[in-house]
Amino acid sequence: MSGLAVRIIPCLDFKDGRVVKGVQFEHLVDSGDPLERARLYEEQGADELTFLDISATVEGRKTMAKEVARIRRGIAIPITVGGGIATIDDAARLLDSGADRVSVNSAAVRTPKIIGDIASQFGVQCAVVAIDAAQNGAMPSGYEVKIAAGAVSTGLDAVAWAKEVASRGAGEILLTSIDRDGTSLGYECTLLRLVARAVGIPVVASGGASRLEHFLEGYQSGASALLAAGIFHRGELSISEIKNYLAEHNVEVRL
Amino acid sequence: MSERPQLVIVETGVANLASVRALAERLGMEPVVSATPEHVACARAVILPGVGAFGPAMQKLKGEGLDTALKRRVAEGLPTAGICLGMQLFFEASEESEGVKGLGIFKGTVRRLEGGLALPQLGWNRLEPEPEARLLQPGWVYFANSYGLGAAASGARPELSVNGVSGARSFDSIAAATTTYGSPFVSALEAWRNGRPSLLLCQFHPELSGAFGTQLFARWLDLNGARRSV
Repeated sequence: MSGLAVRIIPCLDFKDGRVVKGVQFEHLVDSGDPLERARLYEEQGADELTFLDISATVEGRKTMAKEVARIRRGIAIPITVGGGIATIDDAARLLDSGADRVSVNSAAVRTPKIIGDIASQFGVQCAVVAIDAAQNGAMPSGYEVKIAAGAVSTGLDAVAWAKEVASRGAGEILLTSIDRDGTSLGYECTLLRLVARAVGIPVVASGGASRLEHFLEGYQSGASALLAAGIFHRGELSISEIKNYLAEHNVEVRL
Repeated sequence: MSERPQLVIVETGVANLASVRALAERLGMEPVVSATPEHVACARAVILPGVGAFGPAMQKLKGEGLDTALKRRVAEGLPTAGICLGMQLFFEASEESEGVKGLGIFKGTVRRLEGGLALPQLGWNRLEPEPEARLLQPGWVYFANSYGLGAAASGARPELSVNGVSGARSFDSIAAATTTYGSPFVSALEAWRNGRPSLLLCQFHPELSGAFGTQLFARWLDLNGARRSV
């Protein structure tokens, strides 16, 4: 029992400064003004916000940095920004814009040194590594790391990679199950348990949560934070409903 | 110097200031980010933010003459706040940077958090103020720290250092808050002088602690009249 509350984190996917939500990283639906969304989630009790930038262009990324700055002024909870961060300069730009933490994904696989560089330059708490994993029976843990929004297989075992990013100075792992993302089937709890047991840093569960029980299962599988997107954007569940449910099950939440 | 700044956020070189600046703006202030000792010494209110390591931050403060400026304003009882590392710098030393002297306004050495839990402590934890506290209230606050001042069995409230700042000894009252992460540590301190809030030190991030953090800083600033008297 650490005393820390389990965090509920709405994730907003951005493309060219607009909020979108992908279903299994493909068909994208626009979900409205990000600042309004962010404020709504803060009022509902969000403990943190995660933004993922899926813009494919330099122009789109610049728009993203401006959006981060605008949202930062409007809300008073931590913001993590990920997506397309390839260099320390990319990370610095987002932190200067008002992100509190940055998350690296493909870049960490391609250039693992970036993890330690971000941790030493901006602090361990800033260095989040996002791991997208999919089932693959050929891997020792049964899960393989994918990059480039799930399009590219890396041949890396997800649990081994999680250990490596932790040893390189990551302050947190954002663990997304590609198989579950957008499916409403709940978190991939086996994967979550394997990774949470293997590392001494917080693990954020992501991908598939759609019902109250899914959040409890994620917590029970070792997640320090529980992330979801579509169910919040579509208004299917509110953060306060989830927190009340967890509190009823004796899970420490910030109410 | 042309004008006495309302609120100065001390530029320590490494900190990400966007969130602290946003906190000030939510309070209706126009913060000035400055590393000029004169600004820091006489601003109506000063926030010493904190991201980065103890040693380099102290080196920067000394190099710019900001340590003297900060001690001067604390001695005069001017409203001064420290956030996270900014709080730790008010103590004598830190395990994080052996051999580096802090501002030494309070006695004590900042140490790596004990209790065997994952570090940094990252997330929301409970602030538990002493009953005497007037600014600090019980609630959830956001932490991102690996170091802190342990709350000794003898009591949570750190003593002012005799070698620190002479004027600081004339605070009317000092109250602490603790938080437990594996073991208890001092998570905040408030000090009053002449019936007004003077020092506010937070090991957590008030700028990221939602409405709770904003309201805490509003109490710290409003009661001093710093916001309305300009």
